[in-house]
Amino acid sequence: MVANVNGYLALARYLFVPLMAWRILIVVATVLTLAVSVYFQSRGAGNAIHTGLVLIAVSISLGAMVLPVRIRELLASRVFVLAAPSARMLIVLSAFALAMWVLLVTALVVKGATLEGLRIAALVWALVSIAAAAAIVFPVAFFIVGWAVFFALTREPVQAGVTIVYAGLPDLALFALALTIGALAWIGLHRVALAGRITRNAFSVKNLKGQGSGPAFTLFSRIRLGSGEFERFSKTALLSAHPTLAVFLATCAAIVVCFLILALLSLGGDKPFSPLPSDESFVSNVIYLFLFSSTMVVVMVMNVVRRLRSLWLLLPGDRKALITHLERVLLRMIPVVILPVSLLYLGPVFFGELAWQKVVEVVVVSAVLTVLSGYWFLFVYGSDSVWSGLGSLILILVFSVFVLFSGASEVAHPALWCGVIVGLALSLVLRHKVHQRWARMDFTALPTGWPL
Amino acid sequence: MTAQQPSLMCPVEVSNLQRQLDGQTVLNNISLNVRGGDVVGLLGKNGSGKTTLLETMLGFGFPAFGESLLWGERATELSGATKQRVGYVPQRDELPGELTPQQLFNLYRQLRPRWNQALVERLMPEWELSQTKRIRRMSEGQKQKLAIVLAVAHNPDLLVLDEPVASLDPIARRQFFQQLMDYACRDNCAIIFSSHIVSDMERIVNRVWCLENGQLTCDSELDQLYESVVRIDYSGQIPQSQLAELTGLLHSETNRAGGQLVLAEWTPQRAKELEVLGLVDIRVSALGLEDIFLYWHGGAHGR
Repeated sequence: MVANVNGYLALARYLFVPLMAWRILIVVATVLTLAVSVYFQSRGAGNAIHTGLVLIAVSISLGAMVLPVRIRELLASRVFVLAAPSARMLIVLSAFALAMWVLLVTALVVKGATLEGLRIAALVWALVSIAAAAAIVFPVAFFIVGWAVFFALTREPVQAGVTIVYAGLPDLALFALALTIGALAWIGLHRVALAGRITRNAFSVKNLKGQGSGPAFTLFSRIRLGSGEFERFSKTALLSAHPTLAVFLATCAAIVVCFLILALLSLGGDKPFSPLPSDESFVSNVIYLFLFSSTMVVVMVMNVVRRLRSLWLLLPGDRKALITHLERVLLRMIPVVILPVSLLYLGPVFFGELAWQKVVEVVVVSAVLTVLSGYWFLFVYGSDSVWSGLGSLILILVFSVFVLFSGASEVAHPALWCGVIVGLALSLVLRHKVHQRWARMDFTALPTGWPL
Repeated sequence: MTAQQPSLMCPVEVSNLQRQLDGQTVLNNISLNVRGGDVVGLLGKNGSGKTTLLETMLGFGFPAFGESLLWGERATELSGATKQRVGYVPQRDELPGELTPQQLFNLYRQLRPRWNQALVERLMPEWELSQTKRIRRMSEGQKQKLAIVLAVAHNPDLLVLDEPVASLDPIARRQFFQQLMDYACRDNCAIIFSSHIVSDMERIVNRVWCLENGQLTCDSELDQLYESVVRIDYSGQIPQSQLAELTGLLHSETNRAGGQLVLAEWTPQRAKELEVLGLVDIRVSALGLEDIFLYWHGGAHGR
């Protein structure tokens, strides 16, 4: 009994206690949010504290998206799987903790424990359980299908269908169905884990391909390297980083296919491309699409950076040359990831549903902020300070607000262009610092693994 | 004064090297050099600074003081041509897991002008490595073998191996050392490797470096080391206070009839010194490298 309690406590500690830096950030962000909420409440805003609490709960829920990675790490560990009770313990703990959290957040959102709240909580628990199990067992497929489902759910026809099904089911049946589906997801995960079918590599190309281990996802391997130093660097780096590139391309393809299917489904209506972002939905869509692009740039650069140590003796050039090449790779990747996403908006622009200036604004803002994020990443990579974490958090917030603002603003809003100029200036300052830092980079202390 | 030709320069020259990590001095005042044809074994306990020394020597990190030169070039600013002359097997696995060896060879062949495809084609089946299996699907031992193949396939003039046999089975270890011996026979090729398997090391090295707490405690030819560190069995009694004053005493053990000493800096002339102290029936015997290492670093039967 005591051993069991200790086991649960140890697992809970591993799963739910973040690193010290993140703990500090969470406390600071919570205190700040609550302080702002209390201030507004005292100035007469009736719902401010409640909104603040919901915001904190949602933020923590988003942060908890890292948990499937940790659960997968544990389940992939052979020692852990061999000890079947530990796997069961982990899954019971995760399912229970998720249920409690969902109940708490739902009660917070609906302001109390109501029957409707319980029904919503059961549904959310079931959906998140399925998503978590899928993310743990098939991370790559989950990533791709997740995007497709997400975009599908933002479309009106799909939303209408879901609402009809949701409203049509009796309360008790819905409740029972949700609990059964959620429980089945965890039981399925337990069976898969005990069968030893969860392996450590999160981005398995085999999962992407679904069969064999042929060279379908090996990019650039047949390209012969030229004599240029940069050409050698970029191709070697991209070849080393190709799993990420493959995942990126597959995800891009999934998004484009998803949009095209939705476009085809809605053909025949008044608006030929209604599932594509129209003026009304532009603001809500644009942030996700461009956040995705910039995140992918940073992820790909991170992949190259963590390989840089092994390239030191392989490639010609000193540290200055390597960072110059890395910078060029970063800058070349930005149009590669932003342009395909931007092309999705050409349809609405062509049919006059969207002002082209607005698309240009969003693209320019995204490109500048992606450059800024890239330089910031190179500036802080490998440094384990609270300030680097805090800076990254602020950058993500600024990024989100700016892209959102650029989507919602009037065309040629002066504040937006001021922001762009400030972003460019900051990028130049960071660039200078990055070059200084990497010219004396200690490769022995450079992290070579993923940060999670 | 004429500049020395690069080919005639020492492959490695380290002078007064000091290295700091997180404010801690990890390497302190290390000076050494490697000549063409040297096969150097680097010994030291875990955390003694072996990996840091090898990495600093190759320019992965900046020294706080002193410098490391490879063929006269500062290690942190190596030219492309000099990098081509170095082969390195890191302690940690740094191979891109999603590629197959074949894909990796295709890449390396384009980056290494002196790539020896014939050697690769001989070693891969000999070491039972598949060219088409993804690297992440390989065992630790297979990855280590592959890293060694990649390090030697461009015929480097300096081969640096950081614990290359840690994950290898005895057969693979034997094959590896055979390969290393073939390499050592090449003109002017220098090899530096660290390993904890001292018995394997002593078959091949001609020089030994010992690191202890970031300091180089021994830089000696292997034969010289065998001659200078010996075990002495004796009869008679000697007070502990006098024993402690003996130069180079690494270990002492006494019993009623006599005792045993392990001494460094031994020369046959020192037998007289011991006789003056009252020791009789002195028998000197040689030690193996593993015993020398253990006594030197205060291991199981050390100081």
